[in-house]
Amino acid sequence: MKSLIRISIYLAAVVMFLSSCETAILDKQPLDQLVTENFWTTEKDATMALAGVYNKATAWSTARIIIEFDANSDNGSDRKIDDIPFSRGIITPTLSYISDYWDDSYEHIAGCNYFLENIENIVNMSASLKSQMIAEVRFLRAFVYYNMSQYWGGVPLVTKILTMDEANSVTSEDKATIVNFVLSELNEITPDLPANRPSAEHGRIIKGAALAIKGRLLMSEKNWADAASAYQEIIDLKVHSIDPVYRELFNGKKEQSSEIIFTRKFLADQIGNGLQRDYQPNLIGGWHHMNPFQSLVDAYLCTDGNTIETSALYDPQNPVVKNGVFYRDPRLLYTIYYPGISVLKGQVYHGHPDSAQVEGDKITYDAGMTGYCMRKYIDEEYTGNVYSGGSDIPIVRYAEVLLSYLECKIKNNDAITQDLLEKTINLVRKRAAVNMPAVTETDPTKLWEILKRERRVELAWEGLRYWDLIRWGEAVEVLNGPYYGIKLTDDPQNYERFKVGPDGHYRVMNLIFNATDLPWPFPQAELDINSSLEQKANWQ
Amino acid sequence: MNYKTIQAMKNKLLNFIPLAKSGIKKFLLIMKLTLIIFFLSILQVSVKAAESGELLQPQTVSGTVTDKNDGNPIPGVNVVVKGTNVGVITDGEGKYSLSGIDRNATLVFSFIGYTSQEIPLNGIATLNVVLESTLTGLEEVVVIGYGTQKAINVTGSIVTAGSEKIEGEPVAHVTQALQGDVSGLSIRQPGGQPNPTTEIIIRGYGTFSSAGNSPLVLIDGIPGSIDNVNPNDIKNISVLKDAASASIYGARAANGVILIETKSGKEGKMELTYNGYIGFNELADKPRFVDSWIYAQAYNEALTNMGLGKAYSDEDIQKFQSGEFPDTHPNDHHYEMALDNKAYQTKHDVSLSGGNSSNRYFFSLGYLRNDGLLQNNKYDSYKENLLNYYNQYSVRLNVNSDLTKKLRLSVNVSGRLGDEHSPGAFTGDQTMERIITRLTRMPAAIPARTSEGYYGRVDKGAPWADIDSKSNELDKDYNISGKTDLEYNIIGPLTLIVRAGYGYNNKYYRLYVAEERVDKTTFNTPNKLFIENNARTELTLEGLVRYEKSFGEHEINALAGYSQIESKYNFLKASRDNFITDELYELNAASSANQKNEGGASEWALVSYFGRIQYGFQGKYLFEANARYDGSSRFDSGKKFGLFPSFSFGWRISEEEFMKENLPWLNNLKFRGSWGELGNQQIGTYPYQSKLVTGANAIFGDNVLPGIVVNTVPNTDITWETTAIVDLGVDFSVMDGKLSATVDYFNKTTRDILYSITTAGVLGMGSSPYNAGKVKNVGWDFNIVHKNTIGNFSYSISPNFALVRNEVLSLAKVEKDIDKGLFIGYPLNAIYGYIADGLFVDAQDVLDYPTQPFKAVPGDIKYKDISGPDGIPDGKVTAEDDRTVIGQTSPKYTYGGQVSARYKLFDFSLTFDGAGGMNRNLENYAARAFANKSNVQQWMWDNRWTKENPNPDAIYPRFYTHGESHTEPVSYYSTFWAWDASYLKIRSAQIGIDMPEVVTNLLHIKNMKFYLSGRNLFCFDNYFPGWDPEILVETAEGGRHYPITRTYVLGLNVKF
Repeated sequence: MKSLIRISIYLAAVVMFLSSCETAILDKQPLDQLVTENFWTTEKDATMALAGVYNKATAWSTARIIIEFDANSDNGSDRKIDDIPFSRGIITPTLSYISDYWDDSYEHIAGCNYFLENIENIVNMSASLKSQMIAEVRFLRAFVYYNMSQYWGGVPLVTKILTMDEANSVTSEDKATIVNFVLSELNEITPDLPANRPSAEHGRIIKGAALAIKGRLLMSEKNWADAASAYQEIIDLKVHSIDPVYRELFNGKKEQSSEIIFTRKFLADQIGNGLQRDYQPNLIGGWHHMNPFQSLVDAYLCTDGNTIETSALYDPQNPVVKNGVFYRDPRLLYTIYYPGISVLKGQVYHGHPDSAQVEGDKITYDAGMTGYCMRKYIDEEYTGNVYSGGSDIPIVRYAEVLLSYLECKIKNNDAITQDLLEKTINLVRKRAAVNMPAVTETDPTKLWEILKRERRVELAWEGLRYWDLIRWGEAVEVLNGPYYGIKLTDDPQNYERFKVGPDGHYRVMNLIFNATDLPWPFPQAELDINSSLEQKANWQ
Repeated sequence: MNYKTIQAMKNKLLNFIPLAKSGIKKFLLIMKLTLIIFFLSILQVSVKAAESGELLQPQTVSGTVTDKNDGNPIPGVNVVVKGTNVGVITDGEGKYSLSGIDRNATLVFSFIGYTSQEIPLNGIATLNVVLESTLTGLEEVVVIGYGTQKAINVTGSIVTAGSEKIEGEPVAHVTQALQGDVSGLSIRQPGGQPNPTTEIIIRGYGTFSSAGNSPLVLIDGIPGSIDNVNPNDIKNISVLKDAASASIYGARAANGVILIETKSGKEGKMELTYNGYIGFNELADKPRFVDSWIYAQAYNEALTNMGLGKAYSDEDIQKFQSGEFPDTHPNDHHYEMALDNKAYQTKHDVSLSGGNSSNRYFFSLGYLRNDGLLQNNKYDSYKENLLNYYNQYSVRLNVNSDLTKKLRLSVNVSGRLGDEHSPGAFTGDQTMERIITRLTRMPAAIPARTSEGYYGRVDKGAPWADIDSKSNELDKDYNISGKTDLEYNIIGPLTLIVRAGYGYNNKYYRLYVAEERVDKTTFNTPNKLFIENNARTELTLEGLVRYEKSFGEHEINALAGYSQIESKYNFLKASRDNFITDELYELNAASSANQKNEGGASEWALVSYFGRIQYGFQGKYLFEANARYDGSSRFDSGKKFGLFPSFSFGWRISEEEFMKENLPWLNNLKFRGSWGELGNQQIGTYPYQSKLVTGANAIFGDNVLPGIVVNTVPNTDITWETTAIVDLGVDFSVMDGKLSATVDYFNKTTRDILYSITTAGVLGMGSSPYNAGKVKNVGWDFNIVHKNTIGNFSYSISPNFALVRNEVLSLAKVEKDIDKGLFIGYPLNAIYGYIADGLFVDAQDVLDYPTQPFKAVPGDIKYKDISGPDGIPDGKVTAEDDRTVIGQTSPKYTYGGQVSARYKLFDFSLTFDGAGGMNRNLENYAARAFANKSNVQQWMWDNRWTKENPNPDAIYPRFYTHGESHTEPVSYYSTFWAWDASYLKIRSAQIGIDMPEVVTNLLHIKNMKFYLSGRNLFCFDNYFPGWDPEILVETAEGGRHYPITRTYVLGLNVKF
């Protein structure tokens, strides 16, 4: 019995020894992550959180939405044709692109809301710095809502962090509410934004960006007068100007040009993009994703300022170069690799589908699909990592501001003077690298056609064409029917190798756009979860 | 067949070698011939021995008598020549020898408590006999949580598998060897990699959360990975299926528990054992792809169907057919070129065991080498073609010492190194599987290699360029684990055990990507190196007190214990690029310009108190109660602890007098019942805390600014998932144990399943899991064993069958979560989609049929209009109203079994297993022509819809080129693609031959056995042609899969 007691004491000691450290053992905190409780105290925290918001601010500034969105228009096509679903008649509520845009948008909005809900907790920082950061974040949020208003019209308006229950039961606002929200946000924050920034802050939001997005929104609302004054404000800031160069604005050589008002920043190997890999032609190892249509090529004027239909210079057999002289708007070759003429790394680009350059890989994406290849964002000398290149993608340029301003003036039936033309369209046309004849047409109807063409060629592959056609009411007319690539034969009747159109051009595809394509449907996955959300009327 | 005819056959075979032309063929032929000749030689020796034996008359016979149950020799067995008084008794080592007896005599072996056996000699000189206890299994002991128990007293649901089921199987991991052996244990091998992974599920999927369905595995009492044990070191495996047997492991036992006991030494002379095999594996099945000229026509047809021009001219097609233009118009069947190989497999295990009365040891060394199917095919030499192989080295030392009369120490130390080499590819990790997928996607119309030294490409890469490059991938997996048990018998029935275990696992991953010239225009650069190091340590400390006492008709066993586990994990990743040479694979060999690194750590701990009482009365009435009180670091304070109790009873009705009188043939009949609760705490390490994610950086100017984001909404209320199991079982055995069976009914309900409610995208963040779901599994397990011996012939047949019905009972506030495949009232892993109704025949058909959710054209799949917004068909097929649950991907029933037989020196065994009641939807490159420019399989071409033959019942719809996701109309989830994935596999078969004593004596060895063994021999199924229903085909990010392989080996087992 004695020994039993002794043993029990030993046992008790062992158990107590082991369990004494129980509380300590069970208290485990993350070792490589911050926990929210001890964040939001210093200015440094604010800066880190701001960087986090910019990091997520990719929703509406990816190459897909800026550059490749033109592949939904009459400017061209993506080599991977299911990547351009918006002019193919295949929009459905289950289309993954639609849910991707949706999810990215609200992820970005939640990031902004998280910042805005917590920034006030930091007392130890300058008020002006704080209000500037708040303005930036509110701009980034407003930019998402601006884009959503264009695609979906009315959407759920989320301005705080939601609980899961709230998220699963939100209802949609109508379009006017979203538009008004964006306008009031932009109006409120513009004063807090700087007009310009030092080089080290390049990429952060400035006044011009807020005004330009306000202008875009008002134009889509056909509020020409207010849009014009927003643009007027940008002009009056006098910090932006048309750059003498053109190509360098897009291929990473002149990212900090004063012409670029709002841009998406990249840095090679850090936060990089695949533009060079995706867009370079097969000839220099790229994937040749963007393929311009003949329609875009034909839009470029001859150097005499006339269209190919009216210019005496134009020769259908030699549509670009005659007698060794290039006679089209220089932006044609800045924007497009032209078969037989463009030279890359010492090799002439050929776009013919039977061309030996196309390595027999008819079934890879690398060969072109129209015979043309987009050049605008390509840096032929690029030698870095093609999977993670560093060239920025401009979102708003001063050239757009000037052309939009002129559009508002015409649409608002304001007087068109030569002076107005000189300060807008001619500044764009007369930049040193382009130097096309000045516009002198002041008749609004005739000028309208000139302006539309100017806008198409100047802003080609910047993601605006589709929306321009919608604003102009031309989408149904333009975005339906066959589209063509390079000319393959002069005898289309007897040509069988490839499908060709009546004038012998390579027949690439049919575009299909229905007036009811817009607004987009809410994603099916969202409706599956949230029964309070009602599908758009045109998709019910 | 005699000695000379065999010699002649060998010589003839040797003459074949010079006939093979290419080196690789020659190599393979030599391999095959070597195997055959090796086997013939063995036969020859045996025949010779037998022939020479015939000359001796009268003869001497000797052998060993062993216990069937534990394999121990039985001393004192009577060995008598039938009908005479001539006889001997086996010695202390179970050995006997009789001389001068008739070669046709019959020997009778008898011993109290064992079934007697009569065996005719027929000239055999060595006769080893295995006697079976008449108390069949009654004295058998099974391993249970924290101890052992007599099988007859078990009241829970436990299935065991002994070493005989595992040894000799040509597998890298023990889980493969268990396939088909245990009812209710479903083991799936999702790929045929040289170092394969397996998925183990006990009694159905209990949860759909990240907590997972993997059972807890304990190796000699310490948590570990089942893959870390050399199959040849295993003595016994216990699978604890119900709550009564598993609840002693509380918060980790919800998915069942697998206990592995490794071998230990026995008192006696040192025994040296060698077990090894050599063989090869090959594709068990393969998808067949069309020839290049068919591909060209198919692609033209697809383009025509889309209103586009043809890509290939008639001239192109002729060129493909002519075969004269291998560079531009090849017919390269990439999949077969790279994978249709015979890959070398070998394994060698050596063990030493023995000891004296106070110290016993078991020591083993193991080596395994599996080559992968993926080979370069560029060289004649096998070695140079080799891209993918796996080496595994293992070592174990188990020592037991009686330090004093009362104090006993046991120390187990083991180590294992897995070393897997694979080719590298320019993009992505797990590159071998990606390369296989790219080969699958690549049509025969694209050349593998051209005469200029260029490579063909598909959208996701250039697999042959990767294969030929110096890119390579290395996975090294180091495991060291040690355990000590100090057992002190305090007084009589009371024993104290202090246990400490330590496990260390280090995974080193290295991917080197060389620069590669793909074609004239594509040069992938720069070369780069990624390395990753993961280390995990786990320290277990336990104290147990055990009390065991019988008095009168009462038997009491009790246990109380304390346990704590602390685990820490950390990782380090780094990369650099621009290496000067492709031969150096360390970071410092490259420029530091683009160096990157990443690292992190996490830890968790578990503190537990547990106890058990077992009570038996008259050996008939059995009762047991278990409880475990677990505390976990994964939950917020106040939520850390949980209690997991269980109760069970048993009634051995066959021990009742009235049964013994009326049903004397009934050897055993026991009713069992149990109830208990188990937990599952594997839900991320810090699930309740709100974390800021770093690395969300931004670029301002030309600088990277570090940033943080919040990605999830936290939930601090989180707690365990709890599984309650009711189990009712019957064990019976009749015919002196020749037929026995176990039947179990179970009802397993898991509540508080951690469920990240699928939130609307509007939330903009990931949701944290909530304890919101409930899932029920109801089912039956059947195990039948029949064993018999008729003279020289003995056999056993042991089929098993398991049925499980799985149902989601509740989700948080929603009826269904389509994204996660969860629907209340339906099984987990449900398939949700449209009901297909054949194919559209023509334009009129499209007009007449309900409107489809896409712009339908003839040849498209018709989806049925089953409902509308008002609950009645509305003439419009929409995602909202016309999708429904159309099947499940997990099986409704699984079955398996083993048939084995022994005749004199020969033995044979065969294992089969199967699963049924599930459908799977093979997607993308695996089953859709042109999905993101994928290849075309022969069955698609042969069975497609065409304008010329618009068959509404065609198996494949019209050809067109499309994307890769299931959002494409052709690939919508529907009954059209949810094919029956049931299968029956002949998992393994083995023929063995024991060497007669003449041979073993000659070689001075105890015994020696040769065997031929095959794995994955046949698969019967109705699945997509060429695709094994068991494999996992991933389609995201370009896709990954590895086909199942079939293995043949020739093995040798020697005991010295």
